[in-house]
Amino acid sequence: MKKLPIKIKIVILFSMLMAAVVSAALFVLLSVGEQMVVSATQNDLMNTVAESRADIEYEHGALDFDDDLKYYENGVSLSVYNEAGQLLYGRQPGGLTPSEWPLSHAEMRVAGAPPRSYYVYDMEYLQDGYGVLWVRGVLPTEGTDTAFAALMRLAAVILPLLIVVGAAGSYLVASGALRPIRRIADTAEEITAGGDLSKRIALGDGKDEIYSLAATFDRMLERLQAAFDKEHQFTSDASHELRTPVSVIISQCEYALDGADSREELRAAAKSVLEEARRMSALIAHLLSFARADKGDADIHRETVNLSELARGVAEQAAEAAADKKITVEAAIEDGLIVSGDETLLIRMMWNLLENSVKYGRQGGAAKFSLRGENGSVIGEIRDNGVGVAAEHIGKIWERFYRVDASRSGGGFGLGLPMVKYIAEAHGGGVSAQSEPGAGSVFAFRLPRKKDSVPFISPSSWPGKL
Amino acid sequence: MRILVVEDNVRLSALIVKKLKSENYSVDACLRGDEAPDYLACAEYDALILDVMLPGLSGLDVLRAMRAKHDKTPVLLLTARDSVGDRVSGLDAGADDYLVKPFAFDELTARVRALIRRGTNAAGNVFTAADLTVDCGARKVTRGGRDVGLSAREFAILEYLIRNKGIVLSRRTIGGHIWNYDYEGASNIIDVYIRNLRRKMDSAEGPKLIHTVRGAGYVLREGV
Repeated sequence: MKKLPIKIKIVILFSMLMAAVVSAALFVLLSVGEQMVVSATQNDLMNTVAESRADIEYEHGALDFDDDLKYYENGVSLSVYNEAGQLLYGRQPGGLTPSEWPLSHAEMRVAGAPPRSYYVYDMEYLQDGYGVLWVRGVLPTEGTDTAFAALMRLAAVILPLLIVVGAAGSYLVASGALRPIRRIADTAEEITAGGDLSKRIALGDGKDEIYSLAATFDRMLERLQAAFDKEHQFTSDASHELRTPVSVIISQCEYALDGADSREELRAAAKSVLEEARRMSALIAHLLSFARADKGDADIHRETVNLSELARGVAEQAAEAAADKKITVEAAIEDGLIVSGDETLLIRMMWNLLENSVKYGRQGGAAKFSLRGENGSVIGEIRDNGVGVAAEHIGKIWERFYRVDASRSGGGFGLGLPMVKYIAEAHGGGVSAQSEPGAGSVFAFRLPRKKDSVPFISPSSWPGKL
Repeated sequence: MRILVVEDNVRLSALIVKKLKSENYSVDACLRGDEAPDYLACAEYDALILDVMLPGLSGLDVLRAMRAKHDKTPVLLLTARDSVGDRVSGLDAGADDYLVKPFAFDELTARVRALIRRGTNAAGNVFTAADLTVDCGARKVTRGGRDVGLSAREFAILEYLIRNKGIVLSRRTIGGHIWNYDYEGASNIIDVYIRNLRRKMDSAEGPKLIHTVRGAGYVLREGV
């Protein structure tokens, strides 16, 4: 049974159910109906016998049988006997004489065997002036039997026919209902065989469970395809980024081995090899960070963190680093903002944002870092008056390896902001960016603020201390 | 403090790593003896927990190779109950301590603390510098008699600095001992940590203890 297709299972089940119902209905109908027909026939017989009494009179010393009294009425053969059982009137079909078949008052009996069997009903009464009279009614059972036989024959034809029609109907309905599932399976099969993730089930609009299942599958495929594409893009970008320093290292080594004569030239070659190797090392460290990030929550070391304190440290450090570029870093940090998270990652997130705005800030510009609590969240904003980001780039700056200006690839790999996004999202928050080219940008992050946190009194917020 | 665990039983290894991490060590783990030398070459460890029976290269071979290279990292051997021979040859090969399986995890961490203490020539778990006291057992810091509340990583950095009192530590070295991975930008993050540490403990009366050595790194010392 388990190996059969669902469609066939439904048809079998439905046919069996229908056969059972039809049989039960017919059985009830036949058994009740037969009794009803039999008792109606017997009633006819009894009534005919009883009514015949009115047609018999005794007048002038003789019995007078009225014209209304027929030998044969409603299929009933009537006969009248005296007390001794002598036939006075009527006929006796099937030789049902009182000598063979004794008279018995008001008792319904069946005589003979099919196909020639009869209902026999006798009635004894006292005729005024004459004495005891017997009236016997005989009715063949044949009529009722044939009616039932016909009904049974009809049932024998109709029952299987009904089942066949029902099976065919259920097959049509089941295959119609299951066709979308076939299509889902076919689509999955095609993807498995060909690896083409762009295939969709595309059942169209529908409200039932199967349509919603198909739509869910399509959405899942959409996500899978996006993830695969992203993965592919990431790998190819990473390979590309690694190829550049490797080719520099190879050519510098070749030059050092074959061309360089003086010690200075060798030193210069070694220096650029070192620089490129450092760059590679940095990129590999980045890639490892992202590999860990993509693995999920495993490496997040959560603890209760006073984000205000961390932010202050990051802002001071960034101010020192920005001093070379004569960029001022102003911090407006609300006290006592507590979050649950990985301290190092949170420092890194804020550092990356501030570093970014210093890197793309104008000489002598300013970066403003604000941190505040708002409706169960902590909002951080880094506002600069630097070069800004054009509208066509702003949506993509959170993508890995995306660089607004590919030619200005001196420092970064385009991985700083994606790391910010990852960290914010891993902590249940998010990021946003707005920019006006030439005027500056605002980068913001939001983190869920830790609830019910006891106000954290750090040594730095003690009265009288800085 | 960074620890390498070399143990081929995946479950036991995972348990040891979990226990040590909960004690705020940064931990690397490898499952094969022949991988251990690579790990030792790539990072500087404060202690090594080494199983004797290992695939690829036995624990004793790993130990001999380390000592032949004058690697003085403290080593805790894990041995089976009935192998007196292993313990003797292990200690002779240069192990600092051993622990018989099965062991209690509390004993393991106590022995690791003792190993690290010996590695830094300290007499106990409590370190002092001027009016600063760092109790590595109780994970408590006081400055001038007042408690200083530090986060786990701030404590780890301070512990590393004070265990190496008077020695200049580069940002790379500090990073390597605090996180069991390195990444770009770690030096900036260490700067932020040092800044926060100073704010929490140096802002009190008393001398400045954590000093920046330009171009080299940081050092914790009394006086200038």
